[in-house]
Amino acid sequence: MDIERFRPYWLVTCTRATFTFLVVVGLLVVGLMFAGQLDHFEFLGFPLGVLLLGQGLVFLVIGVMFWFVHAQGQSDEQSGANEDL
Amino acid sequence: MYSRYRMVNPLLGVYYGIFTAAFIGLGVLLIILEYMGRIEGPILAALPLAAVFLGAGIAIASLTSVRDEYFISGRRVPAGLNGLVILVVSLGSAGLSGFVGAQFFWGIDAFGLLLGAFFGVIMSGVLFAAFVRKGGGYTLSTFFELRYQNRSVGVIMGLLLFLPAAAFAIAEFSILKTVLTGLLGVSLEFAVIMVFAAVLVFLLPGGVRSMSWSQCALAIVVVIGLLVPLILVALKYTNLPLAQFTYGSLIDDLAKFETLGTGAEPGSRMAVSMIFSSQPQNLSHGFMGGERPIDLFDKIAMFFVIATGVAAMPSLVVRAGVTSTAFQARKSYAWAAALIGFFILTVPAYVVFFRYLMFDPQAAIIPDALPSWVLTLQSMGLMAVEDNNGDGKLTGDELRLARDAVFIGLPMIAGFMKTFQSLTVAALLAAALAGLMARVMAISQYLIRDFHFRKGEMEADVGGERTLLWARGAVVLVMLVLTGLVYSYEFDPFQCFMAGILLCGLGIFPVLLVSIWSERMRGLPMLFLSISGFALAGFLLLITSFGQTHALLGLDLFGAGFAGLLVLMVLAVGFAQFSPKPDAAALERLHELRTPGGEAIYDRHLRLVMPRRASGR
Repeated sequence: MDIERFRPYWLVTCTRATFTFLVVVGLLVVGLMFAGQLDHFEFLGFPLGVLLLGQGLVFLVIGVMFWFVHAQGQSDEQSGANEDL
Repeated sequence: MYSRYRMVNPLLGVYYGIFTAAFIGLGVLLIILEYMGRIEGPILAALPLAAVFLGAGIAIASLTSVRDEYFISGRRVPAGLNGLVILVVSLGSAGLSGFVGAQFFWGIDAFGLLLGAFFGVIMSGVLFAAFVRKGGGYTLSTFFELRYQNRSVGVIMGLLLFLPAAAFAIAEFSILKTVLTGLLGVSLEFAVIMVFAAVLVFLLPGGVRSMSWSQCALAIVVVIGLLVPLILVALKYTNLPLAQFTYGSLIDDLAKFETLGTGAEPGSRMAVSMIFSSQPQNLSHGFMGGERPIDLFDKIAMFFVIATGVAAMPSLVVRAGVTSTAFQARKSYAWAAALIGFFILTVPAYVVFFRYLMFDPQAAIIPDALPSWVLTLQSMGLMAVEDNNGDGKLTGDELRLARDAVFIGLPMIAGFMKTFQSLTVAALLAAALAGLMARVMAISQYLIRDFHFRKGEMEADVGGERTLLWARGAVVLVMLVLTGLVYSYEFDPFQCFMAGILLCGLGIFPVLLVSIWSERMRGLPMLFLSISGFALAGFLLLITSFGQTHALLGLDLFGAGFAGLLVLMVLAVGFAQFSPKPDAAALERLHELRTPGGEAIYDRHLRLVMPRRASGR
C-alpha cells in the first residue's frame, strides 16, 4: 500500500482501536467500581450488580468486539489493506 | 519444501462432531455400566484417558514433515476453532481452577480477575493480533527481531520470553501431577513419565499442527466437563438446565445459610493471599453482601494486571499467526472473548451451587461415615473437616476446602455418579495438557530459532528437514527438563500462573504495545524497558511473596504490579515520544507491518530471499 493511501487508513485504524479500547475498558472498570451499589435492586431474580458484571457487560463487550472485527475488516477492504494473496 | 497454504478443511466440523459424539457416547456408556454396577474401580480414570487417547489420535493423524505446517499449522486454522484454543491456552488448568477457587473464597469480588482475563483477550485481538500475524514469525521473539531488524533483539527477547513460558508450563505440569497422583492413584514416577510421554505423542508428529487440532478437541472436553455437572445441579435445584441464568434465585437462600465469622479486613494480607495458598482454608466471607474481602483499588489493580498479562501472553499472541487472514485472526480473538465470556457467566453459577450444597443442611455430611470423595480430597490435602459445633453433622464452614478442590469438587459434593466426577477430572486434565503443550512448543521454538541456529541459518534450510529434526529434539529436551523439575520439586500451580501473568504484563505488554503503535520506538530502549519489566516483576514477586502486603510499599502483588505497570507504560510512551524519527526504510518496514493484508513478512522472506541464499545466487 502506498503512503498516500496508508495514512488515512492508519488514522481510521488507530481511531477505531482507541475507541474500542476505551469503550471496553470504560464499561468494565465502571462496572467493577459501581456494580456493588446496584445490588440492592433485583432484576430477573439476580441482584442487579451481579447481573450487570456477570452477564450484561459481558454480552455488551462481546458485541463491541464483534463490531470491531467486522468494521475493521470493512476498512481493510475499502482501503486495499485486505488480503491480496 | 516451502508450500503455499492449503484451504481450510471443510470437514473439520464433521471431525470434531465425531470426536464430541464419541466422547459423549463413552460417557453415556459409562453411566449405564456404573448404574448397572458392572464397573467400579477405574471409572474416575476412564474419561480422562479417553480424552487423552482421542486427542492423541488426532495429533498423530496430523503428522507432517512440512515446515510451515509444523510451525504455524499451515496458517489455516479457522477462527472459531482457534478461539477454542485461545480459551484453553489463556486460562490453562491453573487459571481455570484458580479463578473458580478465587470466586469461591472472594465471592463477587473475584469478578476483577475474571473480567481481567476477558479484557486481556480482547486487547490482544484489538491491539496485537493482525500485526503479529502480518509479521508472521513463529515466535514473539521473531516478531521483535523483524520489527527492529536486529537479530540480537530477537535473541534477548527469546531469552526473556523463556521465563513466563517456563512458569506457565510448570503450573500446568503441576496440576497434571496432582490429578494423576491424587485423584487417579498413579505413583509419582509413573505420573511424570505419563505426562512426558503424552506431550511427546501430542507434539512430535506435527508440532503446532498436531497441537492445534488436538487442543481443539481438548477444549471441547473442557467445555463439556465444566457444563454437564453444572447443568445437572441446576436441574436438581432450580428445575432448569440453564445454571448461568438461574443461580440468582439461590443467592438469597445462600446468604441465609452463610453464617460466617467476621473474616478478614478488606484488601488485607489474609484476603488477597487466600488464593495463593493450596492448603484447605475457612470461608471467611459470604458470596456477596457483608464485609468484602477485596477493596476497590485491589479489584481495579488485579483487573489490569491480569488483563495485560493475558493480552501479552506469548503463546496466546502467536495464535494470530495460525489463521489464514488478518480478519480471521481478529475474529479468533472475538470468538475467544465470547467463550471466555461464557466462562465468566459459568464460574459464579458453579460457585453459588457449590456453596449452596456446602451450606444446605439437607446435604450435611455425617463425620463418622465420610463419603469416599471427602476421603480422596483429604488424602490429597485439598480438604479438611471438623465438627466445630459438635452437632454430629458437617456443613458450611466445617468443610474447609483448598482453592483447587472447588473445580473438581462440584459433582462430588452434589453426590453424582463417578462418571460425572470423571468428566470434571477429564476437563481439568485436558486444560492442563493443552496449556502445557503450548508452552513446551513455545520454549522449544525459542531454543532452536533464537539459540541453536545462527542468523538466517534456520530460514536457509530450504527443505526444513534439519530444522524439524532440531525442533523435535528441542521438544524432547524441554520435556526432560520440565519432568525433572516437577518430579523433584513441589510447585503451587496458581502461584506459577500468576508469576507468568505478572512477567508478561510488565515485561512484554508495554514493549509490544509501543513496538506496534509507535513509529519512533527503537530496539535498544525497547530491550531496556522489557528487561526492566521482567526485573520489576521478579522483584515484586519476591517481596510480596504472592499476596502479602509489603510493609514499606503498603501494597500487595496486584497493587504493586499495577503501580509498576503504570510506571513502565509512562516510560514506554516517553521513550517512544522522545526518540528520533526513524529513517525512510525503517518507516516503510513499519508501514508494511501495519498493513495487515497480504503475505506474512516472514513467509515472504522464506519464499524469496532464503532459497536464493541457499542456492548461492
